[in-house]
Amino acid sequence: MTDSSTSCPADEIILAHVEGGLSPEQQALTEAHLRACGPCRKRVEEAENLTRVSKLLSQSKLNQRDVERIDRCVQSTLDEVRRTTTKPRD
Amino acid sequence: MKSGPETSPTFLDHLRDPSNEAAWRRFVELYCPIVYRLAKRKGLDRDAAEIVVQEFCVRMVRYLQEFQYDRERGRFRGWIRKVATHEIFRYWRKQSAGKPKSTVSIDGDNDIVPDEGEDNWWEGSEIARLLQLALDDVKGQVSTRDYEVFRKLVLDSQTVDAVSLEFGITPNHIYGIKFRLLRMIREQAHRLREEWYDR
Repeated sequence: MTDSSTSCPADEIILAHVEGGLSPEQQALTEAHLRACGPCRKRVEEAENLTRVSKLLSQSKLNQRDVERIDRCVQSTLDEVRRTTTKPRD
Repeated sequence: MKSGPETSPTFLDHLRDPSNEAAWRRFVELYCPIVYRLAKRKGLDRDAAEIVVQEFCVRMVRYLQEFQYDRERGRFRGWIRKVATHEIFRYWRKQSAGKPKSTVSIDGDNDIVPDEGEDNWWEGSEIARLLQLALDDVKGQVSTRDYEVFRKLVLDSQTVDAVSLEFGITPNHIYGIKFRLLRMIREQAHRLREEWYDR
């Protein structure tokens, strides 16, 4: 574990801090570091942004049955595009 | 409709060429899931949603080869959404003799005015889809274990402790993998966005 009171915490600590995954002691050390370190506060903003990316990915996940149907549509469209390519032009 | 970024004219040129399978694959992989989810959001079941997506794709193949981009008449992305909405209403009309009625015209003379909520939904769906495509791209650039850790954590919503136990790695390591992959996905999504849209 990085000593957050003296040196900048690693990326995983910053993300764990944002997601509430640190122990109370780790959290206190990280917060103390962040109060004194502007660049790390910027890193927290980035981690918050990444957490939003994570939520979007999680919320927009389709179930397997839907994925199979969509894959069929993708495949049949690509087949249609190929047929268009090989069709002789008038 | 919101004025977000517009589709790159270069990408539209690629789509006008049916032999450009890579561009077409990108296009259908981006929009098929969005149209499918829109159809379900509008109350269609899975079978109906699949039919709508197929009809949407057939129209796209037909229209895009002759599509002339005209900035004055509206955005290409807005037009795609209009075609998708039109297909959903067309399906309803066929199935239930006209309920509910659509005022949609894909020629742009009789446009519907989408509500703000739907604007946000469509924009959000495009962003989410770009992220999913970016994840597919990133999958090949990381180890199988790291991808599986990420999948279970983010896509299957498992807890850090559960994933940590399953893979025998520390929670810090799990957060490290998550941070690294999310950053890669976000950067790849930016690249895809630049490929697709004008900056």
